[in-house]
Amino acid sequence: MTYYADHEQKVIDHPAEHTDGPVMILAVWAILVVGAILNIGISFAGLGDKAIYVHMMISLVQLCLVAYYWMHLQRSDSLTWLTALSAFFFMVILFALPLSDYLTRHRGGL
Amino acid sequence: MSASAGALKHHFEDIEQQRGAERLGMWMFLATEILFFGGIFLAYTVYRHMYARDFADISGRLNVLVAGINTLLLLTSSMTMMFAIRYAQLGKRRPLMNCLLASAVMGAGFMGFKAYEYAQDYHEGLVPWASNFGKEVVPDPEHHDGIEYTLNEQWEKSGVSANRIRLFMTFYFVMTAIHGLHLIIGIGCILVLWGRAYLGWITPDRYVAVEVTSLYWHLVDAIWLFLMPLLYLAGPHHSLHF
Repeated sequence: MTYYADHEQKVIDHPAEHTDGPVMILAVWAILVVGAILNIGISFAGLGDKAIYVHMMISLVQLCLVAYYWMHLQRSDSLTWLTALSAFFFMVILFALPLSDYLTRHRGGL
Repeated sequence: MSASAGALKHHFEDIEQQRGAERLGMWMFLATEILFFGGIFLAYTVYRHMYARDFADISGRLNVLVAGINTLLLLTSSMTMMFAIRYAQLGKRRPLMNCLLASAVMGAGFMGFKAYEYAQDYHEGLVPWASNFGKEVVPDPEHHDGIEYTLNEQWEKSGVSANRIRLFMTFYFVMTAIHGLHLIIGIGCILVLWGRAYLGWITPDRYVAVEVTSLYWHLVDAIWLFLMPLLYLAGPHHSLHF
């Protein structure tokens, strides 16, 4: 639910109205810790080169949880979403262009 | 509570507009931070792709137990920051101060473990610019023939390149040091907040100062969630030990 709404003038302030509940805070923490333990456990499982994909999947899930719940994207206005998604978008460009070169060099030149 | 009292600056129409501007300002800063770290992660990805076997070999020697403890410390410190926001909104000064202090102490604990790890890396000859790089005799996790070898000899036996190991360790030190610097700045910000809470300056209508600081802290935490597997879990591990 969005309650850091796009601007609409308010006269009365209720800072205590939208606090994060302890259950949500602790549940996210528990999932993050389980993810970290899982990540370390996988490094003992002998997955070889494939392990990196599992590690990154777990880290991405952890990142999404942190951003959505703890960094309050869950209830952020559209400008904040735009800023967060812009960072993600430019990260994709930053990785996609150089990697499209380095990861395909073994195929030979043009 | 009237929004125009206390916390509201004159150039904002109301307190929610002001809070939105403060959050947006921090998010914009965080976007630049994400791209800053992105460049380093990209360089690491390229070299890891090129030298996967060498990176896996040396990563398996890093102290994954300390990395795990540090991960737990950072995640828990982020959790206490969440409780700090809650207590700031509820106007509970003492629990707010306790949560802020707990976050700062856990951040300092992280740096303490990191210092221990750096010292261990030096004694094991893993610091790329030190004169003892690769020259120390350390247990070999893969060969158990009873003879003790230096790291250089072990790498030669395993067919990995000392120069590529040096490259990985440079990434390791640069990435963890930059992350550590961010953490130290975060600890400083939290301690400033603690001081303001102690003086009674963080009232419920000013809770957003805690929230904005927590955004930065969570980002530093989230970056570690990627650094940890990329650096410490790039190769297989065989045991957990200090």
